[in-house]
Amino acid sequence: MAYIAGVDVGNNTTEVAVGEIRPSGDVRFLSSAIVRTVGIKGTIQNAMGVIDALDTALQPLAMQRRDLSLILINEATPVIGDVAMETITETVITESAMIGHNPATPGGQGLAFGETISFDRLTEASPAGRWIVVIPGSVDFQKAAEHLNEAMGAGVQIVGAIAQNDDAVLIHNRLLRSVPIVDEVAHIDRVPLGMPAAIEVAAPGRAVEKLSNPYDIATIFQLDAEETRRIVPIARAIMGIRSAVVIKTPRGDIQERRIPAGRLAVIGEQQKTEVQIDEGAEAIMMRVEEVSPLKEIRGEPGTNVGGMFEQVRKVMAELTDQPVHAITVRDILAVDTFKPQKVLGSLAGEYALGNAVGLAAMVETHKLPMQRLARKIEEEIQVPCCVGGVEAEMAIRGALTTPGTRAPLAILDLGGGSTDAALITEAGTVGSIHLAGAGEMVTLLIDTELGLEDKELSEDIKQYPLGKVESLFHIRHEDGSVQFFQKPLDPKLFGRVVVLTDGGAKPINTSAGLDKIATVRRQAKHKVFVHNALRALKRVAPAGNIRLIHFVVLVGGSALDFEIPKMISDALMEYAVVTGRANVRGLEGPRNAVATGLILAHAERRAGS
Amino acid sequence: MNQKPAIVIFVSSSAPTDLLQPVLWGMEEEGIPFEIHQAANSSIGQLAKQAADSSPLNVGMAQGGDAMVALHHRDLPAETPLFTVNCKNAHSSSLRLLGINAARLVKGQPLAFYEHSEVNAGPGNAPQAADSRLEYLVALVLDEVLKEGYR
Repeated sequence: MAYIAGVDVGNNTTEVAVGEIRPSGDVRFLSSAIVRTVGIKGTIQNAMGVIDALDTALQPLAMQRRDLSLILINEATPVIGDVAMETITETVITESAMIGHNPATPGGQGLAFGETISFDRLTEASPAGRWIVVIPGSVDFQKAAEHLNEAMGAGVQIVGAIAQNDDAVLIHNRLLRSVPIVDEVAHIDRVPLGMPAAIEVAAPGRAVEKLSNPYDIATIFQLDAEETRRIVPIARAIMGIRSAVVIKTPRGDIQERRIPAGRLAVIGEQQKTEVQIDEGAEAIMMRVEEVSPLKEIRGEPGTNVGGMFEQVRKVMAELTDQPVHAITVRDILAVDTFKPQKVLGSLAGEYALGNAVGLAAMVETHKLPMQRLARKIEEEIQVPCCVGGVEAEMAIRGALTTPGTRAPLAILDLGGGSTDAALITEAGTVGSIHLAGAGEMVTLLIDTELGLEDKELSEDIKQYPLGKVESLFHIRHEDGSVQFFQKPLDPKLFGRVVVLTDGGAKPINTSAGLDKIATVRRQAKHKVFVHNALRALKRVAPAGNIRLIHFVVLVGGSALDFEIPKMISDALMEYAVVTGRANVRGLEGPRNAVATGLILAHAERRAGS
Repeated sequence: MNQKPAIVIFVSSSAPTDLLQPVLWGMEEEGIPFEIHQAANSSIGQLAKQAADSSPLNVGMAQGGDAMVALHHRDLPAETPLFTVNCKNAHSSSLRLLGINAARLVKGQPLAFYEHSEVNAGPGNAPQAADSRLEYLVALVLDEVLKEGYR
């Protein structure tokens, strides 16, 4: 009788299974554990996490480390992924100014056209002109209203105002005549004076109509065709917004500049081709499919995409102690996305959405130094430790312990850095594939499209459902259900969209509503996981035909996601494949497949010898 | 007591006058009407709670004799107003913010906070340092969420 531990060191988690192998060769599983991986997968720092996991698993059994006769660790797949974002067009607006934003409470309503004038110079304003008054934050709203009224009384035509403070309504309520007022303009000092300007405030619940239409802007400012073409980014940035100001500046030249995003060289086993990043994700992925199976993908040196590829290879080289030139990018996943771009010339910090391509790259090397890790563990705890079997094969063995499955069966391992698939045929042969793009890519897409610049929050948005704090005592979940609380919620959460993590509700401080955030999240998952699931299964399926796979089992952390399994199941419906989350040993869910497989394979080897 | 939709404000008879003005501006900017009533001297929390109870919008405020202003909601227990501010040592912008938040409470919009405001935030307004207050609140929410069993 022998006690054996199987250990699976993954990118994020280290999993352990402990089993007893009887002389007959039967295996009885005793316990399992899961802890966070310490250090980068494949480095000797992992030993700490492994020992921790072993102790956790042994504790309920009242066993000591020395009771184990063998520890088996996985032959980790030498795959890492990295992600980057490449903007296709960068819109640079110069020498023109615009304000388009959603102050909570603008004043007045309607469209006005006039010339900008500083509040201090109001007394000098000619009665012949039409004026838009620029009110700095140092001016109290009562004084502002008073002076505007005086000027109006003196026959000066004031058609609108731009204010720095949040007091448009207060000023408006005190005016003799109603004019549109845009407030909360942070950089009011940058508003050019003495320039023709148009101001528009929409009715509550409505969006700016005229200033979001390039032809209306052209009409107001008498632009020619070429100028109208160049004003488009401004009009687009104003769309869907409640109040806006457009100011024509002296030169008024608005430039759109296309920055080359770089080229990819896609080298297959038989052929090679090139593709420009700015042709978009679809074109890139089409080329990748065309030349597949891939040998290598190179980024054009000196461009951003080239830099990204260099970075991935460097990290991998350090990790594996190999020269950089020995490392090649084996797969990429390109995804179309949007990236908020700062609009130059904006006066209230506005963004416009630019098209971008997100890229995930996957690098494969010869071998991760798992042998070194095994020696380190052996040294530390004085139990024999060896590397036992290829990860994909072990995962399949573990997955086959899921009740209701049999070969031909494919597993989809939706990880953090890569999407892996493996297939076992009826004859028992195993094939596997690793593709770029997984959980980290989804996080990046969420972060970028929502403009959060907060990876931790984006990670939470990916993992947990959303809710809206509708009162001090209740949250409406994204599915519409309502949850009430006995004690009042934090007032900082009131009225906000929150992500409901295990550690409590976290506010998402963005202007995007719940629906928008949920849509971005779902689309990101769909673009990465569904796309990659189909891509991976096609590669491992007999004759590339997914229909010939009867069972697909999801393993790994992302299989626990609250919506990804359904998305993949929906996509695989049309292929008549049974799809579901693994339930390793009828007990562990999608976890512990590799650790379980390691022990099973060892028992089989022993029985065979 | 009144039928018009408005935030009700009870001002105790001994309250210093004029200090409330910035609070009213805050509500005006947000476009929510308010009504001011004189009231007998009473604890500020009780007074604010009574105001909230009599407001069709469920939100009330009170100014006590000691220049304290409290914001209350009908659903909150009387002894725990949402915010209290001392008019005397508070900057007028904090008072305006209190008015803005009263209005936003009605509208269901996210409340506004200063980085370092003199506003004593939070239900269960025990005299604690701002940091421990926040920690307490986080623990409270966390507790609640775990109890209700998210997953």
